[in-house]
Amino acid sequence: MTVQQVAPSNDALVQINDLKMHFPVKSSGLVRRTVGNVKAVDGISFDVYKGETLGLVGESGCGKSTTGRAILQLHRPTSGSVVFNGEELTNLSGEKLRRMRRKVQMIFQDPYASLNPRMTVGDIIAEPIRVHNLRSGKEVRTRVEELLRVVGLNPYFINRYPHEFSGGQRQRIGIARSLAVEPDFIVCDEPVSALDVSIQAQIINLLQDLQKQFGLTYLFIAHNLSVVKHISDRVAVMYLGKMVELAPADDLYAHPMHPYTQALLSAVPIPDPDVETHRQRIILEGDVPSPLNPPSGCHFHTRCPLVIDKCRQEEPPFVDYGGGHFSACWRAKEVTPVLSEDFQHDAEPAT
Amino acid sequence: MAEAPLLDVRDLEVQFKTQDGIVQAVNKVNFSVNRGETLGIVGESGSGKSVTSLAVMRLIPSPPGKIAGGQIIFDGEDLVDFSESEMRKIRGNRIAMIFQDPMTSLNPVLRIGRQMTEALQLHLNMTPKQARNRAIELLGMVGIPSPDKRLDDYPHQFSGGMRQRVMIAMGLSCNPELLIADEPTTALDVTIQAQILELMNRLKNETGTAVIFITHDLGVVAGMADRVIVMYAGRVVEHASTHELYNNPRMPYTMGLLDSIPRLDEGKGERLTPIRGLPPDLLNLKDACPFAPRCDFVQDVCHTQRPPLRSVGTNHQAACLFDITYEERQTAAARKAAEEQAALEQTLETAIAEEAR
Amino acid sequence: MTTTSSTKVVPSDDELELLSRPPRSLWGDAWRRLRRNKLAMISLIYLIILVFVAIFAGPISPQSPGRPTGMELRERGTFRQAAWITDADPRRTGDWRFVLGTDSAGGDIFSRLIYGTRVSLIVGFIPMILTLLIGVIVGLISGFAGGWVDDLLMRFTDVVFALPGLLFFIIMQTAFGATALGKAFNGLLLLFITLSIVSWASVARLVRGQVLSLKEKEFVEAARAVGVSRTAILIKHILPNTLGPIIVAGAFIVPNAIISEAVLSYLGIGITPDLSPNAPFPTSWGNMILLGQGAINSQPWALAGPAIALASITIAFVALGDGLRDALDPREQ
Repeated sequence: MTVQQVAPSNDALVQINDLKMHFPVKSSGLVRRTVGNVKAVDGISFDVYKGETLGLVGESGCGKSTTGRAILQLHRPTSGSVVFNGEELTNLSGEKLRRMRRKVQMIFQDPYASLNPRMTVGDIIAEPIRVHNLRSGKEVRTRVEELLRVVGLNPYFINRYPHEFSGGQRQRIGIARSLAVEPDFIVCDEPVSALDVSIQAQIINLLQDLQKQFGLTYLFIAHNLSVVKHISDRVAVMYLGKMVELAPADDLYAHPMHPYTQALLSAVPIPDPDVETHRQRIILEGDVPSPLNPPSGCHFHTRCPLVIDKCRQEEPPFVDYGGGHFSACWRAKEVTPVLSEDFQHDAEPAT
Repeated sequence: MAEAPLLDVRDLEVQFKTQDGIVQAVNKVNFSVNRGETLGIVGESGSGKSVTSLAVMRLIPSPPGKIAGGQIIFDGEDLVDFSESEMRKIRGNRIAMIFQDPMTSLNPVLRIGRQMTEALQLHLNMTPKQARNRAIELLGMVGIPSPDKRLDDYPHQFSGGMRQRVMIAMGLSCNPELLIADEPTTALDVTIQAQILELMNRLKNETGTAVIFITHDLGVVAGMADRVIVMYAGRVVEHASTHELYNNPRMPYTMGLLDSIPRLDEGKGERLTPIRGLPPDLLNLKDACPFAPRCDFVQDVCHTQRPPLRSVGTNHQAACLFDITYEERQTAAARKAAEEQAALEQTLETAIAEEAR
Repeated sequence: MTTTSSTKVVPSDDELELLSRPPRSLWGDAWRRLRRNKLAMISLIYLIILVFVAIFAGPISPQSPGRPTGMELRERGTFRQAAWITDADPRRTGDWRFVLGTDSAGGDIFSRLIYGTRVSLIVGFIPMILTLLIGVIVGLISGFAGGWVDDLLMRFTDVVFALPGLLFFIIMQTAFGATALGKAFNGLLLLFITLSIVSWASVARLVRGQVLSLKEKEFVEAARAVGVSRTAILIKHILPNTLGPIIVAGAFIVPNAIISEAVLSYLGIGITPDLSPNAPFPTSWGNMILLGQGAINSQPWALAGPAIALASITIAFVALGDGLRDALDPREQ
């Protein structure tokens, strides 16, 4: 048993259990054989609670985006289960799958690639409404105008094309499209990482407002820990296809229980020269190993400052260390906070 | 600091010709870099920060671009007047540059060793043997394991972080007096970014090279630079020592930028107070404050007069006509956020009421 | 501009600026870029004129293009010189009624040149449409379906792609030239089929490549996430985004087909000259080049006329194709 069962909760909107997403690697040539598997997601389990924002962080290639797409069934998972509102999604197909898409939506990373350049803004936002027959006739246009207003765009723009807008405005259009079906759950895949700093903040605020307004649940995928900390109630950390830590946001930042999280936190630059010059950094050696052939035991052992022999042989279980703070590390309790005293003080909940 | 600065950029102007007209990418920019110091240039896309650095290297693609005015005085000589062959002796030798994406500046079909030794043989007249030994030494210095073997590898055989190390080694190979780093860590993961930043800090102290560090990330500059200039719409809008800039910003744009970034060490539930609106179109810039349309403290005069970069403190200049403090912006922004929140709730209520009807 | 939702509809400064311009579709932008390209525009105008010439060949031609008999033949004469040349023989002296003189059978060369436009354009356009139709359908299915369907279609495409063009034309003409199929519309039908068979493979490959890259785009993923059906994704999202390269490919197929027809006719295996007086397609420029070549010393214009016509139409299509490629290529921005 490598993965600890996450205790089912009554208010869990999405339950992911032992989700695996492997991509076969084919040999080139006339007869293409499978020569290996990229284990993009390799057995992860977690719940997303109703109304919360669950942050999912990790570096490139850790499988965080694949996780998001596997939950939405954009990639069909290799194994494991995804339960949304009591319904198993992994074996849905055809009409049932389409009906599920009304409730589960996605916001994409690249605002330049996620909108069809040949369609007007109005057509882009109206498409989900028409596909699911949510409105008819003139009401479609009224609804599109309403959605544009909701995301802070002028409804006059309905006949414009995506390339006439800036990155931030396009991201708003993408958000309007995903809201068009009135979903309950939205997977936000790096929704601000392609945007400039001043625009990022606008979109983050918009996402928070919409959550409040429509009671949305988010899975917020990003590589920027500061952004994830800001928006999330709980944060999960992934490394090489595995979930290594999952905890309430403040708890994770103040008391990391996995050396990888600790290193990540210490590596994030803080826009304050006084903090920056006095910080201790844990600099990880080397690069992330290939997901085609991950290390034995704990996937992180090749770079871990706390590595012991056991880590090389046995994979640590993902267990709750109290208060919903999960970690997959043999030495979880020995991981020390990396943030300075006053820093931690600040991190205590205000009010 | 009686010594003349290593690099002194005066009234630099760079223009690009496009189908729709002339874009003023860099608009009368002034700054200087002293020997051994690190200057951070911060700005968002379109602010002209990268174009400025390309202009210093005289690498503006022409056409459509050209240096339309100003001086770039490097060690007493104006680089704007230099011929292409004179510039070639400077580039890579006395001024080196590293880019965001190392793959664009490494030749994919040549071994790393060949690419490194080429510059050494050309600029420092080394023999092939000497150059190879120096290249091994440099790769070792930037932390590449078994450098003598890696020298015979091709660029694609290195990971992103290792490639950036190779670029840094190449940049430093001729002991340049000035190193320009244009977003050197933007494409890298945060743990790799930490490796590279640490490396750059160490090498800077060891070699005494002056560095221009260009980035959009205020967090990265905070730990790297001695002084920082903030660029917006092709202009320098604020210039101060790093400590002063972060603790006492005087230009509303800088303040807005600082307030736009979620901080790892902030308390929970704080709401960001971003800058509203969008950056201006560089095509039809009026002679006014470029930030005026987005500024919370805008007055009529801001739309008619271009604010000069004026001194607002010791070693601190800002391009704002008024003396606005960071607290004022934060109070104003908080009030604004509250109003917006109220408006949002109002909208919600109306929506619910309409729904009910 | 607000950072949160609001009910106001009063546009801000940035918005006003955007609203002051009409909506700009990518097609509109491409057309604007094309209009700025002088060579492409001249070519386009020239080609439009040629289309009119082809349609109204009857009223435009000074003479009937057919072979004259009796009195008419005597009046025209055979091998009459061009209008500006005086010959010792009054029956061969130039006459402005027959600008480029007459051929061995008394046909008016200038009128036949005008009628030849019909063949060239129709031989360019119809195979282009057939080629694009087959190529786009095969490419779309192959790229979108993937798996064994893709493998099967692409291997078949490779085989067709490997056919040596000219040799295939000659084989087809020799095999079917004498049958009813080969004789239909003076052999034009057979020519259309042959030309389409040879050229669809490259279009299919092009379209497949486009589909493969578009399939990975986030907007296609977004459409899937929203619940759009596969057919609708293919037709609404993928096809419109492949049209640019398809149009460019089409613009280059036309001159290729025109040249191929001319070469075949020059070799004597293309379309058969129609001798009846009211034939819609009496001859092609390739045929005329073949005939003109025989009189190259005595009547050089009989060769020069069709040769120039053929060269100019080809250059015009190529220039237009280049212009379209520049206009439609998004990399330009």
